[in-house]
Amino acid sequence: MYFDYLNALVFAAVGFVFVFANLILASVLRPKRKTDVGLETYECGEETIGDAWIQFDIRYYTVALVYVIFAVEIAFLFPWALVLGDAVANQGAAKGAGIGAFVLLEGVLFIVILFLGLAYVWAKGDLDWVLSYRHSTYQPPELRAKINLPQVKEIEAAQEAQKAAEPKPAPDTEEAA
Amino acid sequence: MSELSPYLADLPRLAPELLLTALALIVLVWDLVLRGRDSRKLGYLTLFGLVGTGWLLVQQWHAPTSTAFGMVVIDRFGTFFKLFTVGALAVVTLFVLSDRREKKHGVGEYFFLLIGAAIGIFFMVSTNNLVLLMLGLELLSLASYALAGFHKGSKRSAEAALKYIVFGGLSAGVMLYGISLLYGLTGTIDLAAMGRNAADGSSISLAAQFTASPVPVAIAVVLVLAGFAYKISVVPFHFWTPDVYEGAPTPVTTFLAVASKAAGFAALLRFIGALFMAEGVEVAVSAYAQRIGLLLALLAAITMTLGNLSALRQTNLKRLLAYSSIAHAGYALMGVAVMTSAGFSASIFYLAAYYLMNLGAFGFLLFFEGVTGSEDVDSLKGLGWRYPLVSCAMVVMLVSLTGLPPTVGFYGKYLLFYESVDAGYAWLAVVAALNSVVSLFYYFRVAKALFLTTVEDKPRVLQPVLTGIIAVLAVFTIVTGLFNRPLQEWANAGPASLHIPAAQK
Repeated sequence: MYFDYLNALVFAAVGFVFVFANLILASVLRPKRKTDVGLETYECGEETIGDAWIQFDIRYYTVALVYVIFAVEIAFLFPWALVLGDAVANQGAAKGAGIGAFVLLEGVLFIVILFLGLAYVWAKGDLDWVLSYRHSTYQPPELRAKINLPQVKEIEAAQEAQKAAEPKPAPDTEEAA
Repeated sequence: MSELSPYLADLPRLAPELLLTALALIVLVWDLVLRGRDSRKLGYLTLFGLVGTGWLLVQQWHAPTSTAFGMVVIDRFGTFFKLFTVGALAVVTLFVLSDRREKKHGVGEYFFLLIGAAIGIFFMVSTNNLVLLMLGLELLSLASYALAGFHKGSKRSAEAALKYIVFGGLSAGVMLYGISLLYGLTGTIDLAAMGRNAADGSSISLAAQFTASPVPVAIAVVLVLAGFAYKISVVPFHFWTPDVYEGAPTPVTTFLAVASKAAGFAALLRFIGALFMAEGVEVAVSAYAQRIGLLLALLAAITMTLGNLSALRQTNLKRLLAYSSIAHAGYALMGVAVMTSAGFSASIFYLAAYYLMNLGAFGFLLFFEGVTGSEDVDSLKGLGWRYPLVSCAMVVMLVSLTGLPPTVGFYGKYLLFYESVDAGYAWLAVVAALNSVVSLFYYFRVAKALFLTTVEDKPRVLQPVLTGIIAVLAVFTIVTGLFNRPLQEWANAGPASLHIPAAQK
């Protein structure tokens, strides 16, 4: 009863062994030349510049997300486009179904909704590489004034003033006695 | 055009979903047109659309059970939870509008995301198709992740979103794996079809597979249950709950604690009902169902105990309510564990009770955040005398959450206890009763802070809309506790429409 899945186990085991067997075999067979040329990145790689552990700009992620809109769109539109011709002409697999107009309308609706996502990103200004306050969300005038951040001098002056306003530490008690 | 009829005839049955979708898109576009100015307008539009959706749903309540596009089941069970969601969302929208700490501009996405989550719930609670169920769940989850992190500048909010998305992604994966196993075992993704052998041999019933080899069936079902357990925050899948509830904006926490949790329960009830209890499900599975029931009963006992004991030590009211919501998930799970039609009804009734009292409690929390700017129980000191109406309403909620008469919470717990004793889970009822005693302690710490301390004289902050909502919910909590017949009949309609036969006595 429990051996119903033995073939799956064998498959997994063979797959596991296959990977490591190849790696071991390659390390035994391949020539080892640790010269400068031998250690160079091979063919398709780029020479790295600096460390990979840097903070990437958040805007790359925005662009990646926008890309997903189109990726999803393509993934769904390909099968749709393949049957659309038949459906509209009422032939082939869709013969007699008479759903041409319905299918076309649904496809258009789908694209329109997806493009709303793009329009949203555009209107919010996330397609501009240099972000500006103009495009960011609406700020009422009294809040807009606050965006003018204080200068370092002003901050220091405020800190000095605060320090001066604080009461002096209590005088030495022994002296007072 | 007559050939089109099968497609177009099904569309009107999805009218509530279509209306919500259109509403979401209109809110999004209008927000862009307004350039983020005056988001309150969008809130009012959302309320208006929700009223329309509610009206359509009430129409559907009276329509006979039907299936749209072979995937979406329109039955009373689903419609009950959809109405539930619409009601909860309307209150949450009002919460957002009257949240004193929320910006009035540039928060149009708030409403768009809330409606999006509701659309997810709509499909999640009304389908037998596991793939559509998963899609609905993911739509709900994605909107919830964004909502939890809605206050982008806040560290706690960002932490909440991150924790939520990590836990959510993991459990979605686990659940999908379970679903794929179920599909592999039975050859169908339709829950109703999994219950029995197909006449043409296109699918095999779960019972047949269980007789042949029980281990894969058990693994598949438990994996799917794990996904649901995450959504309704049952131990051991509850870790995200306190942090997310605490970090998310309070209206969002309300939505997660009420609508999202109820949707998880609805999907769980439909899953268990269709696989193990519906008419025509074979006997081998019924025997298996008893074991799943025992597992759920154990989880319920652990969940309520852990939730209540952890809540004892909380000083932050929001976190306290988060642990209390874990405990209440445990109570509601009792009705699922007994695996009878009456148990399901009791569970649904308890969720409705939970809806009333938890919306009220979170409304109260929002009110006092607006007054004091703090979530600590200690900061409530003496506020009861300055805001008597809201505070008295909160005491009603606390009484109901504890499960004392004459509130709806008492009757809900009574039904659950009765059904679990009736089904032979007397020990579970004892554990739940002991837990209620424990919960009395921390709920009444809040009441004590409100009323049993001295008054400080400060100017009052008026929040009429919130006050109104909380007062109305408090009145409903008492009224439905005393006259619970209609609510009970609605709750009974659920299992009936899932084709679960009433127990023979």
